[in-house]
Amino acid sequence: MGRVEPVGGADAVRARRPPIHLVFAETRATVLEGGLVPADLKALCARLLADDPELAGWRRSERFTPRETAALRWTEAIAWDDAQAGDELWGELHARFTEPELVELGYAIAFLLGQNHWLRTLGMAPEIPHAARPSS
Amino acid sequence: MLVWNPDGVDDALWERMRRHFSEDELVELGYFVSLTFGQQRWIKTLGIGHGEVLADTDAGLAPARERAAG
Repeated sequence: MGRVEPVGGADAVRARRPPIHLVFAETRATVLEGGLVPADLKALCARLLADDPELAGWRRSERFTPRETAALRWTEAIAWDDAQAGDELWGELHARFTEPELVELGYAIAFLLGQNHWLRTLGMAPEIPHAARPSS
Repeated sequence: MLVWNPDGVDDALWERMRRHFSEDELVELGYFVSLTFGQQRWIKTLGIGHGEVLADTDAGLAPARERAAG
């Protein structure tokens, strides 16, 4: 008796219910790793959701572009404090992203947040989608 | 627990869950709650409340209130 055993990782848990495995695979392909917003930007947001220590101090860091910083600020608002999503942040988001990109990015962040919480109840680490490989 | 304290789930809770749900049901229920939780957090940053958009359709998960009233 115990939790749903995470043998084989999160995909193996999802595969216990084939419809969930299928819908997750589609979301991963079309929203997390495909879509309008580059996968590496969505992976950056996933790393913040996963408390990646390499992102400590991201607000003051010059490592990130204004577009990346806006995405990270929105990630923070969705995950921890929706009060941060005021007119100033929305102005910044609209300056850096098109509306379809914002829909996709917000959906991706929200989806990853939910998956992370679920996996944590199973004692599993957060997932970070593979960043897009630079084209050669 | 999934929403507010996901790291606090212990064996006692899992045992209670197992009394009421099969493993396949637990996977589905956990996925459903996680998806709904994430989406609601996202919508909060948009400043949209329940029933403010597409309220006359089946797009939302909780359209029953207005139908019950009508």
